[in-house]
Amino acid sequence: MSDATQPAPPLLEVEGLTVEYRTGRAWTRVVEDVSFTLDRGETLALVGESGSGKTVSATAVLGLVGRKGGRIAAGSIRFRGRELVGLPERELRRLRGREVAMIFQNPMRSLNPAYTAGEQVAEVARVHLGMGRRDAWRKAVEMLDAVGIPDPERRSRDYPHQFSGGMAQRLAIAAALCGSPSLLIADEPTTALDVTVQARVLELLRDIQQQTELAVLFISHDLGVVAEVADRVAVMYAGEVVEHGAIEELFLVPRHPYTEGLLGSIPVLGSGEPLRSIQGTIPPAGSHGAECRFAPRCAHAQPVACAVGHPGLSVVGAGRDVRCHRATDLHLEGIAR
Amino acid sequence: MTRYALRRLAVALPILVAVTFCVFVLVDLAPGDPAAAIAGEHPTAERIAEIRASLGLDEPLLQRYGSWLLDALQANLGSSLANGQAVTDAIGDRLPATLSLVVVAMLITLVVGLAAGLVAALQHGRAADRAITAMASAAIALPPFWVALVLVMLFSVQARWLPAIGYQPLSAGLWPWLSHLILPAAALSLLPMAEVALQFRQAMVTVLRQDYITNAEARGLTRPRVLGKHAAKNAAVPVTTVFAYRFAQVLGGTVAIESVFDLPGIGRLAVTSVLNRDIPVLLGLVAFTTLIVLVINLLVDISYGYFNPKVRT
Amino acid sequence: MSQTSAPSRPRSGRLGRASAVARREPLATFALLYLILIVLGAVLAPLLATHDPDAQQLMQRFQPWSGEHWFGTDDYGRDVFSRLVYGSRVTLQAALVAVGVSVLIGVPAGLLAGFRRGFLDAALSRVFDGLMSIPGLILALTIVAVLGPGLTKAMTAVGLIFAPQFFRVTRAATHEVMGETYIESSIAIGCAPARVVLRHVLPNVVPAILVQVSVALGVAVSAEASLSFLGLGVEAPTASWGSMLSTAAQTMTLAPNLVWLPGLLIFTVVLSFTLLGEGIRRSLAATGRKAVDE
Repeated sequence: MSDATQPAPPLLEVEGLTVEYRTGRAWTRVVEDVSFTLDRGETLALVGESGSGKTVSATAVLGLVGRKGGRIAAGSIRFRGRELVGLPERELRRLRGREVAMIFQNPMRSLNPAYTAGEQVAEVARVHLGMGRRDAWRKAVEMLDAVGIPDPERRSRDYPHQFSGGMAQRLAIAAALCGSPSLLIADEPTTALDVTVQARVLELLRDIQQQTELAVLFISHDLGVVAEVADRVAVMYAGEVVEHGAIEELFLVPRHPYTEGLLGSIPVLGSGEPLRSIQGTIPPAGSHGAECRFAPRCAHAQPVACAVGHPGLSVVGAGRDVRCHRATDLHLEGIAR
Repeated sequence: MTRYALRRLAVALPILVAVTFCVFVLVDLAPGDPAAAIAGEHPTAERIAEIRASLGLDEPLLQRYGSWLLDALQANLGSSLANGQAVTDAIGDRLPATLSLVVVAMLITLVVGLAAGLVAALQHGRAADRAITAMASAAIALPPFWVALVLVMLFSVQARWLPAIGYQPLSAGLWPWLSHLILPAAALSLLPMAEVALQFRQAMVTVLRQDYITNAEARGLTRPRVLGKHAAKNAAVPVTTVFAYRFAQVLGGTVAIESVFDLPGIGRLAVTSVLNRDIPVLLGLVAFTTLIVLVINLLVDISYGYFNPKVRT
Repeated sequence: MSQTSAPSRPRSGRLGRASAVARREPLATFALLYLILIVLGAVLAPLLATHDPDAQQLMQRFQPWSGEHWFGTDDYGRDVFSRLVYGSRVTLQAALVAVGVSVLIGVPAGLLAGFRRGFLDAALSRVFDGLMSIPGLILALTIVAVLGPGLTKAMTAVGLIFAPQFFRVTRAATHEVMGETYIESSIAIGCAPARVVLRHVLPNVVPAILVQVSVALGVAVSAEASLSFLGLGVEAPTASWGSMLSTAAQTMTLAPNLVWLPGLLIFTVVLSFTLLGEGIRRSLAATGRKAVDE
């Protein structure tokens, strides 16, 4: 990380991020010691079940944790080398939508039902690009066109409920990219969509990335979708990163049993193998003791070692980290892409 | 949008006809003969029959309602049994006071109610929220006319800040007009204010949890813009519903409030008409107030179309 | 947040359940106790009252609080405490009349509309919608004008105004119950409609109506006060909380406490009915049975 010869810092650097939420009088840790980096034009996927802390990590990047009754207890988030943790709200606001944008799981719910498509996109242009009413509107129509919404002139006057799911997500992407950000956080952007529509939205994201060097922080529970878009993957479990690596390596040779489990639940066409799913559920935040958090669900857990010590994240290769006591002696089953 | 408004109007008009018809029938069932009442003491049978004929009372019910409705459509609601004044004039004379009262009361309702609801929503679950919610819930149990009496005792009798009774038209100046309306309007607005506050709080709490609000924040919009533009427009629907529903009550509430403050308004007219059993005036009042309520409801329905584009289609 | 089947230890019988509810709903329980106290006061008025409520002692007008007159005397030298006690009878009876009328009108209509649906439902809904669009007090005044003055008549009119609320609640609750499988099956095995409604639907709708009754009783107490205050309720000497305020209003400069006392009574009683209604609603929701409203 601290390579002196490297002149420019990575676009996004998250280090030791720990986020807590208020539950009654106490604070509960939902994200603990999460680190990752992201460069221009790159796509990093944060993968995990719901409750693993992936969305919270992403909202922390936008500085929105406080809005939701949480706080960043430790760690740093650097964007273009600039520290975001502790930055005043004014400065953060200038960043949101302009440098870092976000799209959400359910496009219908993330678009304001009371305003037209054009109004929602144009608002970003007015706020961040300082455009007048008319210029902003023209920019909005351009954006709708750019994300592949047919007949943008007319559609810009429609309300979100008049859009189909796929078109609504395109609209959300248009609004997100209107301020020409360099980082897009995509929180399960295709989960709520039909499979065929999913593929087209992913294709759109890839096209945009190629044209604009946009970096994408892609949040998903589905390694199948991740395989389509990501360069690198960070697998999260119970608020921690449990495995991190380049996508091919991680798919071929998973080093963490949880990753193996997630890979097992991807349907492979014509393989004839039954899908495996991971038994049990994520333990609730705040209930963790000093054991491996995945141990209760782990097929490879050993009675003493895994139940007593909390494994640290250890480097097992170039850009490859694993949080497992048995990282060196396990041989897990991956899948070929 | 226009078609939507027309459709709502088509629903509202039959209600007005039905309401007036029912009241007309109801009044017809009333014991006692208005003709005898008009004829004064010791009338002759001929005199009563004459008055009956002149009032059209010897015609069948449906025909009488028909001609009343026809007249009403031409803004003729008949004349008072008590003093012969045209009902429309009687209402017209009393309208400015009531209108002033209701407008000021509704303004107070909106300003204070929305502000309190917003503060409570933003402080959701904290002390300020609990205090506002508790106060609003208690305020709903306060009888408005008693609040009016207490306000008079505190601010007019003891503190002598504001006049206790009477009305000054707006032409007499803004302050004379307003000073006579502050206390009655405050008493009248307490209940709808509390409900608007509770509703707006609830609606804002719900809306602020929505993804599109997080999204608006994620786009770097300022807090006032997120609240004022993105949240408020969506939270407005339930509030307008309460507001409209309460409007009828506020209009009814003027009856007691105008009596306390001796305001020469429609509420007072209603009370005197009841005491005199002045049926044409009462009938006219029912028709008039129902019309106003229906118009307000119509405006609210149309506002739904603005706040929530989904209902338009 | 999620109240998973109240963690009540196994306690014996009704008393145990009641105390569990009381612990979960302290405000509503307090309201209920207060209302019981008020009702007891009304029932036992002849025993409680220290004076004849209508006996005038013109030499003792506007007396302050004393051992003889606990809450002082009014403009005719009548004992305020005794008048409040006797007035509670009138006020509570009036509230019962109004709520009784609205239950008798609203509940059967709501059951019918919810059970039959279709045209009848639409027609009844329209009628009650229309009723709701007349300003309540104006309608009450018209009815009073037609029927002539008198508290019972006036409160009948108030009951008519409340009826749409009961109609709505009953109809919504009936709709909900009708979707349950056991209703469908009892219709399927050929139970007579009337029997289905009385045996199966009504008992499940009662909780929702109960909530509404409590709230409406509060509003009715307030309405009695308004009507009597306007001189459209009880006749002159009879004490009710509203008529006491009516006379107190004329002498407020001399005796402000005459305004405070009945008003505070009305306020606390109305508030208690509301709190009780809310409490019932929440308890029913917690035990799984839904009180349908909003």
